[in-house]
Formats: sequence, structure tokens, C-alpha cells
Amino acid sequence: MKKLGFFLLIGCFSVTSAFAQMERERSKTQSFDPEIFWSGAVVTLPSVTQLPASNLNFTIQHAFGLVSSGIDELFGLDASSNIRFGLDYGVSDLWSLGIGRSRFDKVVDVRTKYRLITLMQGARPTYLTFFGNMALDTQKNGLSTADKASFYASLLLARSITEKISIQVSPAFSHFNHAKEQVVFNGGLEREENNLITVGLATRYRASERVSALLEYVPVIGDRSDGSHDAFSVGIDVESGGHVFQLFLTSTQWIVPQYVASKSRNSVSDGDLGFGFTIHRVFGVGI
Amino acid sequence: MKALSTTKALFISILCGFAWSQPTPSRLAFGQIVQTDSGTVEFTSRVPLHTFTGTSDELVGRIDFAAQTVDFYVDLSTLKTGIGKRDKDMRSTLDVGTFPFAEFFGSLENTVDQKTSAVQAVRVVGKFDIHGKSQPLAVRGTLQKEQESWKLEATWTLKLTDFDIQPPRLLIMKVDNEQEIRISAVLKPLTQ
Repeated sequence: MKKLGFFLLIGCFSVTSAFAQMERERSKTQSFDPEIFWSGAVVTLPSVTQLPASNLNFTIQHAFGLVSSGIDELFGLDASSNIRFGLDYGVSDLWSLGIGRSRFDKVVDVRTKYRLITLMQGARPTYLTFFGNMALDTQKNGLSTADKASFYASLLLARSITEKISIQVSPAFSHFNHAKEQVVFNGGLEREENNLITVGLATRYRASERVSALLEYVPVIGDRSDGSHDAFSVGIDVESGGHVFQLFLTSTQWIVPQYVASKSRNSVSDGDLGFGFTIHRVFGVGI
Repeated sequence: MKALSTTKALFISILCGFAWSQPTPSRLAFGQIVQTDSGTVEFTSRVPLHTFTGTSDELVGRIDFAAQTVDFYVDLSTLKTGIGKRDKDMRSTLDVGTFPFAEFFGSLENTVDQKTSAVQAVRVVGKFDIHGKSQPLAVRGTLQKEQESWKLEATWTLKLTDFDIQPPRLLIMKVDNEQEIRISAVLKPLTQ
């Protein structure tokens, strides 16, 4: 009987205790998209990663000379480097606007990125994003403003294949209003193309919570500018709470994507790679 | 009289417990149980040369004045610091996928006067759970009745390592182990 009383007592208290606490319910407003890449660019290719609303991303990109130049040129660090400063702003969680300025050809670019489709398969996302820009060569070179303009439009399709591996395919169309021609050393004439089609390929391997490896290849399909080569880059991302540091080796010193497609003159098959780095810093501005 | 079997006894005891635990109309009628109409959690984090705050407007809680119990929780995925990347980092650090809630359940140590509209100091003791780890916690705060509503405010300091949370760091930059937590809520009687 004592045992029975004990059960009654325990039963009463345990159930009381269980019901005294509210049932925990997950919030219905929680919304965040897993990132396939940690920053808005793979190396030279724009990535599907979208800047959240009211976030401002400041970017500084450097691409140095060829590592093969040896110790005399400090493996390319003494050579003329291309530098781009950029600002992007998340207008909404799906749409961002940006502006940047590069040292080579004094190119100023304005750009936009809009996520068209998000598909979730468990925790693994697939994104389809549009990226477009307009760039202006601001050198004083006798060309009209219209002739200095170029455009780039791309669809970025990316998918997280496994927890660690992601891929991106980005078919793109580049257009230069004016195709430059230049006489080369042997007296020949090299001509750039007005229109170029590229299919950018990129992959990321997430090695840890803070470090991932990147691989990027941007082949030109069809007609290409004389003397140009497909751009190839390999690098690592290091992420902290508000920064992403990218260190890479790349066969192009160009940073704006249509210039990468048209003007990359180094060949990875010849071992022409240069060191580069990009720093992304995100600020919450809440405009 | 036939002796009750153990199974029957358990069944009866569960029924008793269930009945006892449910808010009865008479208790509710007197506004003995109040629940959040709105609630905010804010934390302040320090890293060298920098301070940032994170907030969530989705604090959920209930105070039962008759039973003297206090029960609050927040879905950690609703915390926002203003920078998407930092939010992602925070969710990862807190392992929100596995442990989605920060929660407190405890009891009021002093009796609250439900007739006065003056600010009343209260102290609650109980257990705070986050990151799958539970620790005893005593918190001081204030309660103030404003017509039918109650305004609650409380602050305390949370040590991340007490809950097996490793403060995020990059090179020499490290988030301070101590986080200042502030909660504020407006609670209304459950029946209204």
C-alpha cells in the first residue's frame, strides 16, 4: 500500500511539473538561407551568395603579377597589380546593388544581383540568380563614353552537392560597345571581340567551419579576343563573423567579369599564375 | 475492497496530475496566469575594440502568480545582430539546429502584489537552458502592473563556457565569454 501511495504522489507531481512548462514552439518567422559560397564572389566569378537586406559589403580585391617572375619581383608582388574597391548593398534579402572601381583601365562598374529561385532539398539548397553589370572604362583615351561601356549578364546556378561540396555553373554574355585593336610586337594586329560567351564553372570544398577551398574556371565558348586565354583560379576562403578573406592564385589580373572573359592573357597551362587576395567586410547599416 | 494495481494507481495519479496542472477557470479569472503579449531579448557581446547587440522580438513567456512559476523561452534562430554573416556564425556557435531554444523555468521568490501599479522588484530562481546544457540561475528584475498588463524587465550575465559554448575567435580576436542579457516583456492575462 505504501508503494501504491508513492506511485500516486510521484505521478501527480511529475505530470504537474511536465504541464507547468509551456510547450516549446519554433518560430514561424525564422528564415535564413544556407550559403553555398561565403562571399558574393567565387574568385573572379560572381557567386549566388546574396547579401542580406540592409547589409553593406565593402570589398577590396588585389591581383598581383606572375609568381613565375621569381624572387627578384617577389613572386609578382612587385609587379603592377590590379585593385578593385567595391561596395554592395542588400536592398532586400533577394536583391543587391553595387558599385566598384578597378585600377586597370580605370574601370568603374555598377552591378546588380537578384535571386530568382531557391529550392531546398533538406538542408541543401539550389539557387538560381541573375547577375548583371555595366562597366565604363574611364581612361582619357579618345573614345566616346558610349564606346567605353561594356556589359555583362549571367545566370548563376549553384547547388550544394554534399554538406561540404558545392558547385556553380554560370553561363554569361559579355558585350563591349567598342572592340579594341592593337598592333603587337611582331607587327600583327590583335583584335578583341565585341561579344563573348563564357560558361563559368566553380566549386567549393568546405574544409572546416571557417576555411574552404575554391576552384574556378571560366572558358570562353566560340569566338574569343585574340591572345586571350581562359581564366583559372584556385584559392581558399577564411571566414570570421563579419569578414571573408580570400587568398588565391589566378591566371588573370582582371577583376570585372567581362574583362576577365576578354582580356586575360595569361595561360594556366604555361604556369602563368599570380597571387591575389580579396577582403570582404560586411556592415549592418539598417537604412 | 479490492487493492489497486500499480498500473491503475499510475493511471489515476497521471489523471490527478493532469487535472491539477491545467489552468482552471477560477485561477484564470483572477488573472493569476499572465502570458507574453510581446517580448524582447537583447544580448550585448564584446570583442576587442567593438561591441554589438543581438535582439529577438519573439520572447515567449508565462508567469503563474498562484503557482509562483516563471517560464520563458526564445527561438534562437530569431536572434539578429544586423549582419547576416554574424547571425550565421552565431547560429553555428549555438548549434541552433540541435538546440533551438534558450529557456528559463523557475519560481518567484517573493509574492507579487497584484493590486499595486508600483514597480515591484522580483527575484526568480530556476534553471536556464541553452546549447543543451542546464545551469541554475537567479535573476533580479522588475514587474509593474499597467491596467490589465504586466511589464517585466530583467537583466543578467551569461557565461558562455558555463554552457559548453566556445566563444568564437579569429586569431587574437575573441568574443568575450560574458554576455549581458536583457529581457523585457508585456504580459497579459491568459483568458483575455
